Amino acid sequence: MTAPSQLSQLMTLTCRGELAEQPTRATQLMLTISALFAALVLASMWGVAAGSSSATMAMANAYKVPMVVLLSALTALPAGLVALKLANAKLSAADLVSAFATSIFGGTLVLATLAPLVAIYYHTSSKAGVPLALGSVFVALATATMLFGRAVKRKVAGQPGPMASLIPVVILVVLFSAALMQFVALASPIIGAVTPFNGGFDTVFGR
Amino acid sequence: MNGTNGIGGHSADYTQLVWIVATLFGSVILALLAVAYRRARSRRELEDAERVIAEAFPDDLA
Repeated sequence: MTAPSQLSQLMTLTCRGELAEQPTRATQLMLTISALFAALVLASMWGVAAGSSSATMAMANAYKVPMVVLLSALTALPAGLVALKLANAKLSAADLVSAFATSIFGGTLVLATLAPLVAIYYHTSSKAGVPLALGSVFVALATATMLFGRAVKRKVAGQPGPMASLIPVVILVVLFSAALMQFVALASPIIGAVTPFNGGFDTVFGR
Repeated sequence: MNGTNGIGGHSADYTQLVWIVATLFGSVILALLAVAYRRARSRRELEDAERVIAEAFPDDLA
């Protein structure tokens, strides 16, 4: 029997939260890094679609959006790992990072899936283009959060104190979202219109 | 590139500088991840080879 491809394993991990066979540490690390790299490529596709109002913005978004995703994940990760240790959770750090990476992959997969719709509405509707672009980001965030929670829940199923493992999940999601908001502001303009997110926290929660 | 005004009351130049530093940091992390991936792949190939040998010559391990 041939071994499943990396993409196939990645999709299984993202959809089911675990593989049929327990992967070795090397395989798990490879899958985690592959998930992150694939997520960056998918985020880049959405970036090009969202910035397609001008060629310069589309090209800039091809590296800006993946960088925003990567930096937000890197900002949130240390706090998640510390929370994992402090909560004395049964989940291993490698499993948490793996679940986090695959959930980011799942979220960006949703972004890339919606990218053509974002692009076509951007060029054909003055009312729906920007809300659709922003909406696709929220849908992706919600999907990634759901996948992350589900993956961690499956990994700790049957172990004592499963709630302790969900604390780092909540912390990671909140910090990822908080970091995302500021990195989007730093990298703006990503969408060719002024939105509250262009100014970061100050304009989103300002009067 | 980042508009005329920076964010958080800072100048556009300052905001641009923060973004460049963050991007450089991200690029370094990406390079490190690529190295980690290559090392993990080598380790997995070694594990696969060891498994094949173990399956082919089970008596030698006993």
